[in-house]
Amino acid sequence: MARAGGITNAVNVGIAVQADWENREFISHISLNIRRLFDFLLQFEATTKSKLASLNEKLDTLERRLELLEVQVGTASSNPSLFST
Amino acid sequence: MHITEIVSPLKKEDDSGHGFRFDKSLQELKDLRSQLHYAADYCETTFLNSDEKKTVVETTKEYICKAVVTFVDHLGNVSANLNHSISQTDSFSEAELRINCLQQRLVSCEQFAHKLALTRVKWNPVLPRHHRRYLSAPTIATVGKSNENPRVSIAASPAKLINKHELDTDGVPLFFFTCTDKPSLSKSPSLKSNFDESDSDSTLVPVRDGVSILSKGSNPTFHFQQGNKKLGRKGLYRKALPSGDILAFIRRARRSAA
Repeated sequence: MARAGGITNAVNVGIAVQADWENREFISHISLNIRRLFDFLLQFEATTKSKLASLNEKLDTLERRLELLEVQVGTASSNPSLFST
Repeated sequence: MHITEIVSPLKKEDDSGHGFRFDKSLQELKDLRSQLHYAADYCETTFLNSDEKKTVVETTKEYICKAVVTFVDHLGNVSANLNHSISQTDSFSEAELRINCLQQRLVSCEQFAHKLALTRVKWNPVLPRHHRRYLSAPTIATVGKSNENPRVSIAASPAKLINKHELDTDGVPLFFFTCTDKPSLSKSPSLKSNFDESDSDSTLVPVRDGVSILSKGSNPTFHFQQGNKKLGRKGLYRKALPSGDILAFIRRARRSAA
């Protein structure tokens, strides 16, 4: 009886250990996927920032050119004698 | 092509559709966060309260797998919409094209304005013509002065003569140069010949503007020839005398040697 109880306990411990290792494996898989997601988010943030910076630069350039054109048009319109024959 | 007609309403709807999709996916991702927090609390309470903990753990595992997949799906949706919204830079290129068009128009207007201004300032080939009798007086006066003192006329440079013309013509009214000075032309034959040359020249010159052409009328080479005629023979003698001195010196040297 004692020998049978010992075997049963050993089997139960083995099953518990196996279940524990399965849980650990599952948790490691989940954590690994979450880390991959985190890496993807970091990369996505860097790419998005770069694209937004390039767009901001384009907008600044367009805004400066538009201001320059406004000044030139204002200068030309303030001196209408140039266009009078 | 009008500038306001460039942006079509279809593209506006397309842009607003992409923006709406991004906002909707981002809102779904935020809602998923609250759902995950609620599910985690429910699993924790169920695991603590239930007797079949193994079943609860398995159910929680399955839910975690599905939640991760759902989170990845939502995240991919959000990132794709945002990437599409950022990468769609047609509006910027259109704005750049419009600004280039405006700049080109402005440059064309500037060139047109400069052209108009240049046509007003440009030299007119059809100059006003005046009769030559209004031009003869300063020329005669200069020639007369040069005949009185030929050395001075030789020493005078053409630039100075031009300056004299400028002084004579500038500030003098037009009626001052009249035909009353004409009889002085017949007094000297050389001046008459000069005047005949000017007669043969058919170009007529304005009184105040044609300074460069008036310098032709003074004809400084003519006065130089006059001066050379008077001093020419003397110059020849002066050149011959040194050679005679050298010959006399050689003869004296031979005599003394003999």
